[in-house]
Parts: sequence; C-alpha cells; structure tokens
Amino acid sequence: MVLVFLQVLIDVTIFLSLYTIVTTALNYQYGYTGIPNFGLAFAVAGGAYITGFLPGRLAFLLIMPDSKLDYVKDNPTIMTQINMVLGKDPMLSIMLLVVTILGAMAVGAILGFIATMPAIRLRADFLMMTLIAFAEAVRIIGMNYEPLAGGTLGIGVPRMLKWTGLSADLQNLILVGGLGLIVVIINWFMLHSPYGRLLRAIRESEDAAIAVGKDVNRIRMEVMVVGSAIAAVAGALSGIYIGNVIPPAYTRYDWTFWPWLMLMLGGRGSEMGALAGTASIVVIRRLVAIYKHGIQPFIPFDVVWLERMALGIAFLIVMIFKPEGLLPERPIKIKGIHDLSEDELKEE
Amino acid sequence: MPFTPLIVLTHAFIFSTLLAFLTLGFNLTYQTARIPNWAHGTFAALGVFITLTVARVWNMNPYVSLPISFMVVATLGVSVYLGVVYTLKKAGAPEIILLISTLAVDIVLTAFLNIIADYLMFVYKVSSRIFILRDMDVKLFGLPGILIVAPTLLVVFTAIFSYMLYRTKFGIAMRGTVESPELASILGINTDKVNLVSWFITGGLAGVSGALLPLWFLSDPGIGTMLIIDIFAASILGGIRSVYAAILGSYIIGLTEVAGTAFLSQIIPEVGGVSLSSYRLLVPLTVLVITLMFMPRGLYGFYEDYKERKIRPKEVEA
Repeated sequence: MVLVFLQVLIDVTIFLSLYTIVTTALNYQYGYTGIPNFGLAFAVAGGAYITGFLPGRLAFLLIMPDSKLDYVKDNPTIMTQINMVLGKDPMLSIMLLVVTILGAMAVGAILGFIATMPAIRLRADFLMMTLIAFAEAVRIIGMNYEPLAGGTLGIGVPRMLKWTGLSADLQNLILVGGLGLIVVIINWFMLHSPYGRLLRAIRESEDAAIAVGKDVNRIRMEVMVVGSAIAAVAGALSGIYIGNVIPPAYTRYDWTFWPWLMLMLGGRGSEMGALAGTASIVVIRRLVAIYKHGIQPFIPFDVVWLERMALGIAFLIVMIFKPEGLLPERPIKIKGIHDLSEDELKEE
Repeated sequence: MPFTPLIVLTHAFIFSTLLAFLTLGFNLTYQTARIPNWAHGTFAALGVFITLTVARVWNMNPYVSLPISFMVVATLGVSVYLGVVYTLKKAGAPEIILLISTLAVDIVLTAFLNIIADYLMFVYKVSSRIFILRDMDVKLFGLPGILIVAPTLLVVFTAIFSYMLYRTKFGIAMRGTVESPELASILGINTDKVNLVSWFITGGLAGVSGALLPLWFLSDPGIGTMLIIDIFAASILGGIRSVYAAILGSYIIGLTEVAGTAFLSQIIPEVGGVSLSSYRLLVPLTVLVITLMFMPRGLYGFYEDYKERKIRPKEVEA
C-alpha cells in the first residue's frame, strides 16, 4: 500500500515537473509578453522527437559502429545492447544526456524562430491559426516520417541514468524534478528584473513600448525562441521518462490546451498562479488516469472522455466567473518607490 | 481502391463540396462574432454521428438524417453562442479569452462524441471508429447519391443564403453588423439577434456537411480536428470577408489536397516509410501559412483591389 502510494506520488511529481516547465514557458510567452502561443505543442513535440532521434543514434554509432542493424526496424534489439553498455559507462551517459537536452533546446529554438518569422506581426486570431497550424504540421511530420522518431509506433530512448544504480522511478524523479526546479528558478530571476518589466510593458501597451524606443517585434521574437527552447526541454524529459518517444502522443490537447488551462486557471502573469494551476490539474489528471479502472466497469464508455469534458467545462466556468485566475498577478513592487513610507513619498 | 484519375477527382470534388458548406458557415460566424470558431469541424462531426445512428441503429435511409442533423447542429450552434460566446462577451472577457473559449468547446464536444462512439459500440455493437457508410448510399441515375445530392444542396443553400443576404431586410441588418457592429447597433439593429441567426445557419450547414460526410469518406469521432485545418485554409485562401470566396477557397484546397497528393504519390510513392498521402494535411497548412504571409486578405483581396481601381482609377494611379 505504502509502495503504491509512493509510486503514485513519484508519478504525479514527475508529471507536475514536466508541466511546470511547459506552463513556465507559456507564462513567459503569454502571461508576461502577451503572445498567444497556441502552438506550444510544436516546441514540446520538437524536443521529444529529437530525443527519439539523437541520443539513441549517437550511442548506436559509438557503441556498435560496425552493426548491420537498421536503427528504426531493429530498435528494441539495439536499445537492449546500448542500455547494457550505458549502465557501465557514466561518462558516455552524461555526455548523451547533455547532448539530448541541448539538442532539444536548439530544436525548440529553431522551431520557435521558424514559426514566428512570418507570424509575429499578425493579429491575435491569425497568429493563433498560424501557430496551431505549425504545431499540427510538426506532429504530422513526426507521426509519418519514420527515420525521425519511428512514426506512429514510436522509438526507444536509451536509459541515460542507468549507471546511478537507482530505481528507474527515482532516476527520473531526480532528473525531471531537478530540471523543473532549475527552470522555475531561472525564470523567476529573469522575470523579476527590468527585463520582466519590459515584457509586461509590451503586453500592456505595444505602442507605449515602441514610443520609448523598444524594438517590440524583435523582443517578441526572442521571447518566442527562448520560450520554445524551454518548452522543448519538457518534451525531451517526457521522452526520457517514458523511455519511448511516441510521436502521435504530442497532441495539441495534451501539450497546448492543458498548459493553457493550467495557466489561465492559476492566473496569467503570476508565477505562484502558474504553479497552483499546474498542480491542481496535473493531480486531477494523473489520479483519473491511474484510478480510472475503478470507475470503468460502471459506465459504457472510456473515463478519459469524461475527464476531458469535465475539465473543458471547468475551464469555461473559470473564464466566465474568475477570468483573472485563482492567484491573480500582483502589481509590481519596485525598490525605492513602493517600499517608501507615505511621509517619505510626500517629501519627494 | 485502384487508382484512376476519375475516382481521385470524384473524391476531391465531393470533399471540396462538403468543405464548402463548412467554410461558408465558418466565414459567416467569423464575420458576425469576430472570432474563429474552433469547434466548427467538430460541429460537422456531430452530424456524422447522427447519420451513423440513423443508418446503423435505426436502419433507415442515411438521407433521413439530413433534416435532423441540420436542426440538431443548428441548435448546438445557437447554444454555443448563447452559452459561451455571448456570456463571455457580456462578462467583459478580452478577445483572447473568446478565442480560447471555442477551443474549450471543441474539446468538450470531441469528448462528448467519443462518449457517443463508445456507447454505440458497447450497446448497439455498431462500429463507430474509422467507419464508412458508402454501402448505405442510394443510386441516382446510376451514380452514387451523394455525388448529386451534395452539389445540389450547396447550390440551393447558397442561392437561399444570397437571397436572404441581399434581398431581405434582415440580410441588410446582417451585412451592417458585419461591416461595423457598433454602428449597426446605434442604428437600431439588434446585433445579438443577427449573431444568433448566423450561428444557427452556421450550425445547420455544418450539420448538413457532416451528415453527408460518412457516405463517402472514412469517419471518426476525431474528424473535426482534421477538418478545422482545411476549413481555416480554405477560409483564409478565399478571403475571410466574403461568402463566395469561401466556396472558391474550398474547391482550391479540396482539389489540391485530395487530387494533388493522389497524383503526386504516383510519382513519389513513399516518404520516410509511409505513403505520401499520409502527409496530406501539410497541403492546407502550407497554403495557410503562405497566404497569411503574402496576401492576408486572400483571393477576395484581389477582387476588392480590382473593384477599387474600377471605381476610382485616377486616385489609385496617383
């Protein structure tokens, strides 16, 4: 019983970290800068696909240079052999892990750049269409082009933390949780700085930001590129955690709509809100996914749909009655202005 | 099915015709409510399931579902407008929330359709995922019924619609609302009523399109998420401001997507281990992006420029 509980806890924590990275990226793009990024899934999918493509193939080339096996078709055999070697070779494992994460970030950034280049000047609704279309295009390519990540069947990801000797759950908990924490901390420092205030200024009034000499389009583009790189890390980690990259799984529901729901529920532009929103929805979703077998015999359809319906309706209700979210964004406090007492202000 | 140019063109023609119904409605609500309706493809998917129920559960002629589907989906359109769009607008929600809200509606509807699909499967043992009802279609003059019914209905609906839009008082109110909702409401036009009617028509057209879809194409509860991409591309390519441009855009998208990929896959049979036609959806996506980049007003934009030049030739030259 305790063991089951622990396993559920670890599973929920890992998904929480994954989604925290994605919502953090979205909060940076939408909450702070006001770019309605409805193509969030393309960055996540890009990161995941490169995780299916890069580390396994590198390890295959380094460990079995003379092998006649086909990487995609004989993937399970190759994975078994690679994992045996990686379990004894910490240096190679760490190198592969670093390459994977950096590769995912690079792919996310490139995809973010390509998606943004034609679209960033467009109106919100056209921008939204272009980004959704782009995400769909990335998914279609990933789903069909087998050399990339195995097509619809997916492809294995080498276990790059096997050398630690810990159980698989613990390895992933440390890796995913650790990176999630790092992303949140970096993001906090980045946005609680003049840079963060610049982004909010662009969100509140583009014209005012242009008037004080800011290159708004350029900054928005940078935000899309950096945000996509962050989101791609989540994609890479999800592939590493599951041990497989299954391209059809990176749908716009899972990786665009749910992060949006989390952010809007928690409160856009507020870090605590993003965390709270993510936590509540991830816990609900994982618990439904884990315990759905308990309810399943009583209803003539799959419980997953009931959960989707309920959360979709919940989203609409939140938008109607509490559009600013559970923990709304607070006004910025600037040192030297807001921490002065009233007497001091009068003197000035 | 063996590859012959005639069959491919038939596929493309029927697909384009059904797409035209959807794009027409999409443009209408886009203009009156000023938001793209993400759930539009899924509206049609509801029609698909009404036809499935009529044909496989009630064992009736699938065309019986046309009026049912029209009414049911039209009612759905009205309820989405009243329950979501109107309510959010009255609550003072910003544009972006309105944009997301129809996405949420899409998710709720898709989930609902999946529940129906599971229910039909469990209770009535009807195959409700990746099904086709081509065998239930009637023969008219030796041709499949849908090949005659779909274009006829499109012509009839467009004619009625044009008459309403350009010859009746309500049509004037509707066009006024499209031009400027604020000005129209100052002049005493009930823009809420106009919106309500446009969502009703939109829903109805989507219902008709969806009801006919399974008679020729493979259908699935998730078909709406595929259709919406085609609808977008057709709508943007034709020009979001015109109803007729929507039809033109639909035919261009339908023909290039279905016929184009089919002919191209004769030359390049496979890419990355699967047949070229698996990448079919990349066609509307590419068209969408290129159109938005180079002519955001679509083909209708050219027509508008042409008209402008005819009225004021000197000004344009100067």
